[in-house]
Amino acid sequence: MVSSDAGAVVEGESLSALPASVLAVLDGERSGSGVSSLGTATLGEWDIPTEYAVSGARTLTLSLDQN
Amino acid sequence: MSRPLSRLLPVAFCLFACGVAVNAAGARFWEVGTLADFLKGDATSLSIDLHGRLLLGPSLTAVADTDAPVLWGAVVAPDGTVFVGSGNDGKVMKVTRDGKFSLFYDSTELEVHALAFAPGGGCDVGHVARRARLQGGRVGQRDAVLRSRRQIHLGAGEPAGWDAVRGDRRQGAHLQGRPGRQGLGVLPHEGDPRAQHADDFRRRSDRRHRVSRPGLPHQRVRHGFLLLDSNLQEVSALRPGPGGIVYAAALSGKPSEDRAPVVPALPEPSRPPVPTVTAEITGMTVVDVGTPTSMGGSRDSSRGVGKGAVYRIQPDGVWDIVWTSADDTPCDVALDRDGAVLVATGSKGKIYRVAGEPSETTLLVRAPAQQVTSMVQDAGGLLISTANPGKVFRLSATPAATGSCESDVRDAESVATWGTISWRGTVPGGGDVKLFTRTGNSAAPDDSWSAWSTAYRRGEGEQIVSPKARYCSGSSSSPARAARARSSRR
Repeated sequence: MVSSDAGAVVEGESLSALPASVLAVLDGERSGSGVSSLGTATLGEWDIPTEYAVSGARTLTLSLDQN
Repeated sequence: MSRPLSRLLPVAFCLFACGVAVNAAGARFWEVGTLADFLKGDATSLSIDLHGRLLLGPSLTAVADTDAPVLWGAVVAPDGTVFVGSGNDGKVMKVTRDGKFSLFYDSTELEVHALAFAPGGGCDVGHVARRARLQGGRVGQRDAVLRSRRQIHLGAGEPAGWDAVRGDRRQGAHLQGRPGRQGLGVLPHEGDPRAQHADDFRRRSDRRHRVSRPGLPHQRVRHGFLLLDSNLQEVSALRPGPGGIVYAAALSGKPSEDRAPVVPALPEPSRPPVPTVTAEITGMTVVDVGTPTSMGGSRDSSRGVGKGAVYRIQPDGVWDIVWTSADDTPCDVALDRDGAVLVATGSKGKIYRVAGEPSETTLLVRAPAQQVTSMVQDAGGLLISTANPGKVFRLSATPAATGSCESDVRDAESVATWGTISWRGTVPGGGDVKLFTRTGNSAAPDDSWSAWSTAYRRGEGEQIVSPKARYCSGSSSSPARAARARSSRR
């Protein structure tokens, strides 16, 4: 499950949902190092074992409301 | 520093420069006379006050030049040792009082964002963990890390608690910024009864940044009294000041889209009309800078707080904005020995000084880096750490020997004959001012532009000798006789 949030990939590692101050600094590196932008943040990951081979993909957009 | 920054700049001169260009469409004039005008260009080793006066800025001495692209923060130990946290290799480096630079701690993480001394020794390290959000750890010894599971802030840690804001310096809690969308509160050390309260506070979800006093130990922080609800996205730094004042630097990656500006519209400095220029393409203007606004660094403060602001929160909760900018984002706030507020910013590495009542802003110095990420005082003065590149500098009380300022590019919109350049001001004895021009037909200066002209020295005006072209930029330089002042403009 992912959400739209700005982040960066630094040295191959994803740093998601970074504050604006950090993004501004990392932006300055992009011309000279292994830093690239990241547009999503992972909210959760699950593995669901099946007895079948599954192909294809479908994306569901959910609106979350925090209580 | 042996002398406060406010007194290290005895040499000052006003410089109002005017250029005139003529093409088929007629004559056009440009003038530079205010801080906002000068901020459109690049100043080196010059301080520029709100009135447009140029002064030699404090000299910057390199203390440490690291391989790291980013130094996120610094903290000074009681013995004067300075620790800085770096990225993207997650190291903590040590600078001793004699200037020796060495690696102190090498983590397995990418970024060491925040450092703070823990009670009883050791050091808290806030970092971005791989595949995780911001986390915190404590470095008790060089090779020992006690990882905390709770998330921690990016803001610079302060070796004093919130109680220090009220004048009662008490160990056990850190006053720290918690950037992001969950507000800002106190993050006490583990075992502190207020820890749970801080956690409660952090669970609040608010897309706008808030500053709140923590509750008493038996209270929940969520019931604390809200002090400030800014319309910016993130508070990047907090600094307790004298008399219970708290300074909070806030920034936004983009303008707030859904809230009205909190800054009332302020009048622009009044300017008399530019005198008519003769047909011979000569011209000179005298600019009277009217009453300046109290907020510098902003091209148009009436539009709101722009990219960043520094809030001053009084003990009774009354707050005002002492600094704002449409272009620069504040990374850290500090107080100099005169009590003036220093604002470290990105993305051009500027440090502003805000002093007086009503407050006036001076561009104090520009570091050779994109961001000035932190400022710490030690016995020798003010140390700054930077990002892009990652370096540590010391601001010296001694003014720089020379300074210069290069203007932004002026566009005549077609190939033009560039007329005269003039300036008006006062240059103290021993000072010297030289102006230079260059022209070209590409919007950004490059190799196709002309070389810098010979120096123009006469304030009353001289004919520009650079060739006809659409674009023109100006610069100043001038190592003065006694290494005093110099400036530029056009």
